[in-house]
Amino acid sequence: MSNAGEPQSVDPQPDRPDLAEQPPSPGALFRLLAGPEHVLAPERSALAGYYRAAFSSDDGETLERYLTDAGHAEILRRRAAGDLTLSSEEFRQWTVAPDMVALEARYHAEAGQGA
Amino acid sequence: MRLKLPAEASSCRAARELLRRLKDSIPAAVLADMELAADELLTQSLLVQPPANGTITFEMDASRYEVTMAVEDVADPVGPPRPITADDAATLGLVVVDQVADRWGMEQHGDVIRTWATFALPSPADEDVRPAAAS
Repeated sequence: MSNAGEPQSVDPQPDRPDLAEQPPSPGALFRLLAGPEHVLAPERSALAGYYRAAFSSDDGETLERYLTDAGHAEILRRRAAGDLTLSSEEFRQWTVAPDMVALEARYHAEAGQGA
Repeated sequence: MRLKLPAEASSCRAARELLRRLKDSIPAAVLADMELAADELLTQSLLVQPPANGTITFEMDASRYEVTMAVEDVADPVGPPRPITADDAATLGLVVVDQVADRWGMEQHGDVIRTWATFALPSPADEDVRPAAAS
């Protein structure tokens, strides 16, 4: 399904035009604003394995993104090291659009890579 | 039940899948809390003290009244584990474990670090919380 070692882009979701987005420009930086924390279900219970975090882009836009276990661990690792900034490549590698289908697709892609 | 997992983030999902096999014997609400705690226990194990041997042991032990799960890893022999601070607890999600588990703790036995969490199981007489498969 995927090229070896090359994370597949799983967003934007074709059925979610509100999530359609242009790939970040190569030099863009994204700063962690909040999270990561578990995604909440509609009844406010936390969902295991589904994480979210908020980032700010260079132009000041606030972006909510979802994270897999791997993305969650990476963001925590970076935060513990005092580094709150992701490059555009890291942003695409470790986060997905805030959509459960996108997150499941990323999990699927990671499993294919043995992540 | 003991499961050897690679010391990588994908093991969180493997642990959750193991827990979901118990859906017929553990109430859904308790199981959901256990999955959250498993996420956090495994993640903190990977981040605070990366296992020296590249594996993590995920263990579960159930009785009639409670179920305990634990994550064990072999500490890096070059130094003792870094003490967990209040900031770490907030950062690494142990606050979540504290919120959802009835008891939890961290122990060191030789070079093995064991972090555990225990969840009380409701009385089988309580019709409202009995799992559907048992009714």
